[in-house]
Amino acid sequence: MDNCKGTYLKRCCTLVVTAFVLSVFYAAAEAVPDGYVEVRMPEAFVPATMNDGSPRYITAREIRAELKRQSSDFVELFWNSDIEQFIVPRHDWLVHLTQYYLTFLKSNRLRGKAESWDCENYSSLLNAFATLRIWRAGFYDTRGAIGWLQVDAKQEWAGLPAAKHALMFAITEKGFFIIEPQNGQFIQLEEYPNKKHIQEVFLF
Amino acid sequence: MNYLIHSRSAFLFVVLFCMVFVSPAGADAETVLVRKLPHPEIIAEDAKAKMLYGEFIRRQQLRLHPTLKNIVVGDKRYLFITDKWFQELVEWTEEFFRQQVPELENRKDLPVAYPGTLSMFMSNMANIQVSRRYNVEAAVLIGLMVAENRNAWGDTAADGKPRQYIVGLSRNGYIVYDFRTRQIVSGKDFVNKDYVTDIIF
Repeated sequence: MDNCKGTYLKRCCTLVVTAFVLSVFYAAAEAVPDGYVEVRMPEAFVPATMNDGSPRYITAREIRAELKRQSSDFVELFWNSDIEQFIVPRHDWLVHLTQYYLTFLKSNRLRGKAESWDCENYSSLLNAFATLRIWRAGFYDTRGAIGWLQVDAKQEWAGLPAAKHALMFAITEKGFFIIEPQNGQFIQLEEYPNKKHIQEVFLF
Repeated sequence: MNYLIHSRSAFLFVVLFCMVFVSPAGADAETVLVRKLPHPEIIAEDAKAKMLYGEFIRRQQLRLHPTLKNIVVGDKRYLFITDKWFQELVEWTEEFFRQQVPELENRKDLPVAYPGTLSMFMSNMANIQVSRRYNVEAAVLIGLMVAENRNAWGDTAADGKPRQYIVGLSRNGYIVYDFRTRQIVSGKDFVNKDYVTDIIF
């Protein structure tokens, strides 16, 4: 019996030592060098597809026509005229990207601050992240059908008061969407209460 | 006692198994080591951050560039930053892009949306730094400019085509960055300053 107890104790000690060595190894492997930070990236870009499986695109003219149809205050759509068509993301990828972005903002403790970090920044940075993932997926001659817009909101939406505001918009296989990048809320353009007051729209 | 010894070793076995075979939460997600953002350097005058009003900039640019067709100025106040910080931001952002998209190194042509994405990313990173370090209600002016290429610049022939540039507001006025040739010049010395057609700040 004593022998047996001794064997168990030895095994326990071996396990403790191994666990300790492994934890030191893990910690060393995961150590971030000075002057660097570890950044987690969103999942790989997934485009919406046509019936034949090819990626789906939309032109700036089509986007402009739809926005003009929905908004009586529409001023202009600004885009890079070198881009003929914009790749349409798959809806669930866009939802993932928005959730990723909220985590990114939280982990970097980014909170709104007048002028230096406001609604335009929230919207345009998410756009830039999307474009990087689109390039990574090999689509260099286009950018996403994702942009940001300025709206003179008359009604409260997504917990934000009625005021001049910048929001994201995107086109997926499910239609045109307005997105609040500060809390990840989505709404179809047709149902957006301030759609008539959308003014300048940017595909940059 | 026997039971205790058994349960303890079983517990340790489970811990060890988890450490070796179960990856930590999210470990399978793509992570990258990114160099910390360069320390912000804004210009001060009389112990206050030097800045320009957005509306003033809009009028000034319209006066300076009669060829200007579109100008968008998004913020109310803009900060002056040092040339050094502008240069560091350019380097940091392009390094981050190459890290994110390694194929950029081997490509002959940059992606068509490169200038817009570069200016957006740069200005947002600059503004993150300013909002963290300073208590000022103003944004860093980094934006996009389009000018017709009427005058040759370095190896770039004068083909009259519109070309995009990154623009910043630094100590001595505007600063222009050509991401194709990686040249930075002051707005005054920019050879196609008389052919600017679009500005988005």
